[in-house]
Amino acid sequence: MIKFNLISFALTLIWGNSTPEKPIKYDSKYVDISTLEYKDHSYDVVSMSRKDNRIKAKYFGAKDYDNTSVPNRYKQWAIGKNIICLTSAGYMDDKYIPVGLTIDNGILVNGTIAVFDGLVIVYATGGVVASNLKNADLTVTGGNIPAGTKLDIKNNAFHLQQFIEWAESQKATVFQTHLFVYKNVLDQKTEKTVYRERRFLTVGTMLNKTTKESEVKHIIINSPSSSTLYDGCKRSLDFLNTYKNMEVTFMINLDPGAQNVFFLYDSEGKESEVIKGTLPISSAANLLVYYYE
Amino acid sequence: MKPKKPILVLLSIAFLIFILIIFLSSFAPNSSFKKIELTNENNYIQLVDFPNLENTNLNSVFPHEEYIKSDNWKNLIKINEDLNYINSVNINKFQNMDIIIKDITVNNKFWNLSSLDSLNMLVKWAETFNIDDKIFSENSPAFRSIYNYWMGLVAKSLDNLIQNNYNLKFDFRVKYLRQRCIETTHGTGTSDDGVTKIITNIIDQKWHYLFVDRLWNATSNLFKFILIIILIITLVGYILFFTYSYNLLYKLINNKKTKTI
Repeated sequence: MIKFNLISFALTLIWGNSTPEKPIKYDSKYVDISTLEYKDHSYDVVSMSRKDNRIKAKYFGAKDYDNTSVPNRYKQWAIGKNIICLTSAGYMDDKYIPVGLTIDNGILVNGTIAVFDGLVIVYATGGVVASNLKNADLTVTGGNIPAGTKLDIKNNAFHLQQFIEWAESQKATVFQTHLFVYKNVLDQKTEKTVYRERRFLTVGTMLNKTTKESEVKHIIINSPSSSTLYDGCKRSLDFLNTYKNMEVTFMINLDPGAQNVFFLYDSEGKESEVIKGTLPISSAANLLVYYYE
Repeated sequence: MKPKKPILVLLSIAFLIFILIIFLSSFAPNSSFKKIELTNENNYIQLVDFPNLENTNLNSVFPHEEYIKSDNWKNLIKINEDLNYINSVNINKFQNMDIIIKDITVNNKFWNLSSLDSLNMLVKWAETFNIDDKIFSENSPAFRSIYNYWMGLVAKSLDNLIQNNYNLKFDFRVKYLRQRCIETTHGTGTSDDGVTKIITNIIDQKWHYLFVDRLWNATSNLFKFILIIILIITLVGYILFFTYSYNLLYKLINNKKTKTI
């Protein structure tokens, strides 16, 4: 009996750590999964519409206060949720601490400002915005910050503290990352030496051909062709601007390197092979999740 | 000739030990910090001595230079008194706080951020600002700002030091300061160097990442070509070496057998 229990415990551990919770379903009119060819390059695209506020994002930045790991936090949270995809997103250091300013659900995880210019805010309501810290024009609403205040959190200690307190009060989730494209302009300083497959998260606006209305879209774009970050970003931006007719608000890195965790599900809740990471969910040090509600 | 052999062996061992000591000494930590004096009791200034601090544009009339040169900013109680004084003569508390904080943080060049001794003292000083909000409730945002700013800067400075000298990562003082930063939610963002990354990935059995993502996808065709040539040369070298050794051994055994017969 003990032997059987041990085996079942071991199997639970193995199974439990290799695949995430089985998702339920979502309305396919909000999500489009496809593989497209453009100018001799292939792109795997997950396009999610924020119309009607049905598609939401959630970010798990670090272990919980009680040391619950990110995969376990995700599993607990995901019960009953309609998951579209989950991916590793932020950078981690050699001690598995998120690099750069990180606030998880209002709790400060790392208060050190890194060199990256991108600051991503994932609101408790499921919205995602990014700010270019170089511009020193971060604005937020609510909390104790006077309306219209432009925060320069990179160079002003008081502004940084105000922002941290604002995030605490709003239970916001925040992380810092490379910002490759901001307001449709590519950062020319993007790395140009290392070749590999590339994956990005882009947020922008697209014209709906049927309703003729502008829609906010969150697009995960996977480019399997080996290229430098700069070339990958440039190609992807061109693809989104020209082929998808999208005005990109921002583009950040979803590094398919050491943390290549990515799971995608179709509208029937079946795991899709269009984009698939090479690592199990147990390897995730952080997770960005898109879900349908 | 025979007595020389043990001496040569001993000399070789001694030489190897010497090399090992030199190698290890490069990692040997200097585990203590030098003490740095921080406060000079005679160097305080009184803001009441400076005119026009009630001006709406406080930044233009505030004695920035005198303040940074004084010891006021080194003492939490004194900063609290200064903030209270400015708030009593100038109504814009957000502006007042912002001005004092800027002088104590970004405008303050007192600390040597490339010296571990200075960073250690800086951590000790910065931690004095990590106090319960109830003690200085009105000015506590200022103290939290100062604390977060400097702890973050210590973390970043440690990372810079490690980037410039990777061996420092194993120095006890750096480990100690890093840990203190981490405990106060200020990660350094330090990544491993190439060799350490490879070892870590081997331990974690990330074979796909090592061989496909990094070695194959992340390198140019020229690099792959050169790598394949080197591999072929190495392989041919091994084959030739083992073939030659086998033949030599075979001949020796056969010769011995012939002699025995």
